[in-house]
Amino acid sequence: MLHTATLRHSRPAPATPLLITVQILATLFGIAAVRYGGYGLTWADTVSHTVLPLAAAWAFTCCAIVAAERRRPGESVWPMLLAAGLCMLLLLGAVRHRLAFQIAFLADWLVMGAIAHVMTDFARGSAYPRLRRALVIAGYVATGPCVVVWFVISGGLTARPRDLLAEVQVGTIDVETVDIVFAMLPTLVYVVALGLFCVRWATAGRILRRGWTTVLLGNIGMTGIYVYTGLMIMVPALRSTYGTGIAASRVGLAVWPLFLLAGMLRARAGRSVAADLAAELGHAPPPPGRLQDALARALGDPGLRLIYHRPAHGDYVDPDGRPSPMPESGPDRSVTLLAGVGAIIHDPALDESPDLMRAVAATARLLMENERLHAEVRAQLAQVRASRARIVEAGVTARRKIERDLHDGAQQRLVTLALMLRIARGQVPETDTPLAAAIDECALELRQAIGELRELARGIHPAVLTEAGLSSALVSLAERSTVPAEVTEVPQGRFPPGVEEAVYFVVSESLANAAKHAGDSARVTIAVRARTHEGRTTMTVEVADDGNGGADASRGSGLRGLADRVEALDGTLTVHSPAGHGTRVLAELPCAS
Amino acid sequence: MRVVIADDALLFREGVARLLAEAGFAVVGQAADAVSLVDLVRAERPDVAIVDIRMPPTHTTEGLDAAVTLDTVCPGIGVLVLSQYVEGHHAVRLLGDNLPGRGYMVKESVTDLDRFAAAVRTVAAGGVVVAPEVVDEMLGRRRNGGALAGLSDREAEVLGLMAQGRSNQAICAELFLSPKTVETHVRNIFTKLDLPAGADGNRRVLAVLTFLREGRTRR
Repeated sequence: MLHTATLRHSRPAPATPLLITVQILATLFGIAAVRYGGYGLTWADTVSHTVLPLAAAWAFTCCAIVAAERRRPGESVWPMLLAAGLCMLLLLGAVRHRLAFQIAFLADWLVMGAIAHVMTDFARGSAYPRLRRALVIAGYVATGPCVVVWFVISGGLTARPRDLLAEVQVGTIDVETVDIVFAMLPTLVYVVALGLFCVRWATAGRILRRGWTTVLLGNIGMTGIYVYTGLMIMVPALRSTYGTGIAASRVGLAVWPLFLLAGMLRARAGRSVAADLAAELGHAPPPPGRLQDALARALGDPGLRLIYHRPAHGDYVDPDGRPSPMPESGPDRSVTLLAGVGAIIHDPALDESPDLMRAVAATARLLMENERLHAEVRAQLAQVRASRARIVEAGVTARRKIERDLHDGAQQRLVTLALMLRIARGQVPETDTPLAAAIDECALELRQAIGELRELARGIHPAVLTEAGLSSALVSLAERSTVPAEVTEVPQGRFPPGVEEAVYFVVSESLANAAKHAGDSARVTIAVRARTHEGRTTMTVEVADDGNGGADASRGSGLRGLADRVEALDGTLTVHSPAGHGTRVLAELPCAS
Repeated sequence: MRVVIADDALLFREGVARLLAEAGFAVVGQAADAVSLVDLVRAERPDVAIVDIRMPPTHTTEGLDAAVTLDTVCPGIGVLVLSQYVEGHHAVRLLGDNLPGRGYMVKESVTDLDRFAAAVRTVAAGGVVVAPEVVDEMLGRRRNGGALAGLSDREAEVLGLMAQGRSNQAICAELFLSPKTVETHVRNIFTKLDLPAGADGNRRVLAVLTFLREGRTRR
């Protein structure tokens, strides 16, 4: 829907060049007909004679082009407007030729039918459909077949062609009852159409009125003129001003389309509501509730509400997430359903412009769908994060358990074994040197095994971290490091086990990395800082050496594994390692409390 | 010399008791946890308690806590803590209270009976013993400046042996140095670590403490 509208905007209606060509040709022909058709007018007279009908013809044509191009309002009436424009040109052809005169005469009246049609159809909507259809038909009957009948009855077929544009003098017209009846029929249609327009204007919302008010003014003027000319025919006392009335109607015919045009353009501006809305909200996911406010503002309906469908729960909620039943459309509230995502509850006046509502609904639907998807992604992300945090936590717990089990189980047994071996050694007779040597060898091997097991357990999880916290654990790491390392800054106090462990392994891995690559003379500094901003604590770990640099996080599995470990806690790890300028490993870890 | 042993592993406890008996110590009692250890010490008033760092009920660092508690129950008692770990911070915590007669050793070092017996005697006499494994790590800290950086390699070596509870005489034997040279080194160490004049034994403890704390209290 939105797409179609956008496409139509971008290219002119295909008929436009043709329309303009036809119009230009008809204009030239009309001017030529007036000048050379036998009226014997000078060029100056020709211009003054043709200026009003030409202006009217072009005004109608412009309306037709805009209506055809912009679709709404009046998309269905553009052929009428075009026909009216051509009819106005036809008047110019009311030359001495009888058939031409007869066609022009009928066209002159048919313009009134077209105008009545446009007036009735302009403010379309669901209201009074039958009345409107009847009115349109009545308008065409009154200005078409009725005029033909009238024309035939009053002897028009045999009458001499006359200049329809020349001012008709009082007295040259012979008013009979039949004239009054036929002349009043279109006027009656106008009055009813105007009444209908007024009613619909009065009930329309602000946005719709914006375009309609201009058209209403034009319609009042036009109807007023027709009523006046009608009264002149009926009331003999007024007939002396008949010429003025005709002139006024000629001016009116040229001016009314301008009102219509202005109305259409203003209404057009209102219709860009949907586009504005998309532009305002489409580029970023709006926070909950903003879409509703933006829609309310854009449509000039402060009472507008959005209802979101929750497929997972099968219910409806308002933008704040509170359950909200789906209301029924009523006299004071209208519901526009948005397939799959919810509904807009709005002023029924907005129903008057179904195309506008369709465009807004399509935009809103996209944006609401977008909001919903964002919310879903957020929820899924939260789930993934939570499960990742649980996995990290479980990993820490498991490693701690393994470390303890190694110390309390295997290591304790080996130590006891070493002790028993020592006791056994004491009972070996001094003469049995080979046995004593064998036992000593066993004891040595056993001590090494115990030492290795201790290191293994520490690598799995350092007991010092659990017992004494980061500060002691990092100092201990620096002491053990083969490359000289110093802890320059470390926060006291305890942090979540996962974070402490991650910090520990960032430092440990960075030290191992420095030992391998930084070079012999390198020194490492370790700085850990905890910053609390708006209630959220972030741990920054910086391990920098002054060695060779050139470390590549994407290659060494150590740094990559470190990044995974840090990212699992929603942290970031960056490695700056320009060749020859040392390596700087920087990790930031949020501390979820 | 009267000794009590606390360890929740019966086999280990019995083994240590047997070794100590072999070395001429009188093992006057055994305890399986920290609470019964305190009762035992109160009743027996031994010279030294040999305590596993990890005991029921929490299996964390009961041994270190007991070292403090035992001093109130039996002032002047020597406490030798045995640990599965090589953790400098344990040693710092143990010695940090500045109580005389404290030692921290890795468990398997009991199999080296001479050293073990020497350590028990050192803590009984109010000296300080730190596991050589821990001392090795501490010496790594010298690289980072501070008071220790001022020591020469030889002085650092001597200080390391002091931390392990060796007497000057033992250090002489270990490093093949004359007693006079060792005494000079020790004096230099005291000066460089800016230790107040006083009894030599006390200064030795302070030197070891400085050694252990160096780098840990600094931020």
